[in-house]
Amino acid sequence: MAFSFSRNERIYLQTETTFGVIPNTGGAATLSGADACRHIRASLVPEVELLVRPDKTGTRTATPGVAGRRSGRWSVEMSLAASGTAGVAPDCDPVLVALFGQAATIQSGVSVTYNLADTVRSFTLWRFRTPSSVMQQVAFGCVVNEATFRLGENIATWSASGECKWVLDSVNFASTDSEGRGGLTVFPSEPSNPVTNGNSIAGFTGSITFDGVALASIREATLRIVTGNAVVRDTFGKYYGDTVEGDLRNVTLAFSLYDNDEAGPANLYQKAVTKTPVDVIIEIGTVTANRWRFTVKGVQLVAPELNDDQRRWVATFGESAAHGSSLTALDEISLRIY
Amino acid sequence: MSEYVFVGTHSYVGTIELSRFGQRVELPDGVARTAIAGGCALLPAEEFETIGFTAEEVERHPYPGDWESAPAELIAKRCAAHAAVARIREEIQRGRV
Repeated sequence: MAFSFSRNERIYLQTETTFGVIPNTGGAATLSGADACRHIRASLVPEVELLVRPDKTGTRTATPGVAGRRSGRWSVEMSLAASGTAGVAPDCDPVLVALFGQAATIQSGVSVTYNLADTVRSFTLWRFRTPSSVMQQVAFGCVVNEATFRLGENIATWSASGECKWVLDSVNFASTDSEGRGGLTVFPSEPSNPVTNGNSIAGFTGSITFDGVALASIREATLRIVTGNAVVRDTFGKYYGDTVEGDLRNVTLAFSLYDNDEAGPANLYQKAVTKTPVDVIIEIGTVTANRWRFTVKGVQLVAPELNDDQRRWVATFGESAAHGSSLTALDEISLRIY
Repeated sequence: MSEYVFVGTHSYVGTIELSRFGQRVELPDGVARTAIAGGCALLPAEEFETIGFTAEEVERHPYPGDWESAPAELIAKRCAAHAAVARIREEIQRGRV
């Protein structure tokens, strides 16, 4: 009997060209070491509804049900790490593409920029553990529901989660129907020579600018994107989700700063009352090719709470929503890695 | 097996850690192609030599922080190295290599 150690795990990410179809050639996954991505933790959970007949039986004993619709959910947490080469997408690119809704704009040798689109993109998330005899998993048709980026940590991290069409695994592969196999005819083994790139970032380095003014007294910030993306799971005749849909996008910024009498905080205190939108630029990291610049537009600040829990007063701004510069600009948030 | 030179900041290719600019590594060509396709900044050694880095330049700038104050002409050489990697990556993705 073999156990698998928690550390002996790698994940691989692939952007899907068709929702719910694992990238493949003739049923063989086109997975390679080039798709590897370092991570802190990952979760892939298959979900199968249990359909229980509700009719009375004449006793109080519950009756067993049958398997119903299938779906799944996923989540990943990883260090914020660019490729380390300007103009080359990071290893986590498929998740970012699904988060923003379109492929990044690459400026060769300079930057990788993710801008929002209203389309819903999906990706495939593989999890391989060792020894290879234990169950291996792949979540396909993954859409991003939520992503969180944090500023102020020792090692900058981010996390994302969402739902997926199904979580296929090597143990159940043979008994899974073709829809649940995502286009595969065989469950692949882990690619040899996984390739991962980039350094982590000291999460307390960088800068944050509100309304054109750099704030030196910022302590920490959390940027959250809720996409409103979902897998359609109620189509008649379908056991699996068959397409995707999107709802209102909600980008919020929460942060805290040391209260002081300078113009920067005073401006924010005023804007929190008048609800005048402010633009915010958050840059995490200072090293070329590993700087993550989030431009958040039209943030309407929540009124701050002054907190005396620490030696200095801290002003805490709760989750404040961004609205972009116009309805068509789709610029409530963008990410430039450079 | 061929010799390759790392011109990125940090990568793993399998269990091989690449952490220094100018680090040399012997790799099977297929593995190198996978690495380059996967975003690793690797150049065939002979191509690296044509860019004209001096031994001293490579020795003095092993880590990302060392490059922040590097002279413009050296940064231009690094850009040329990255452009060469990008060209190779594109050829791999188009199936030409």
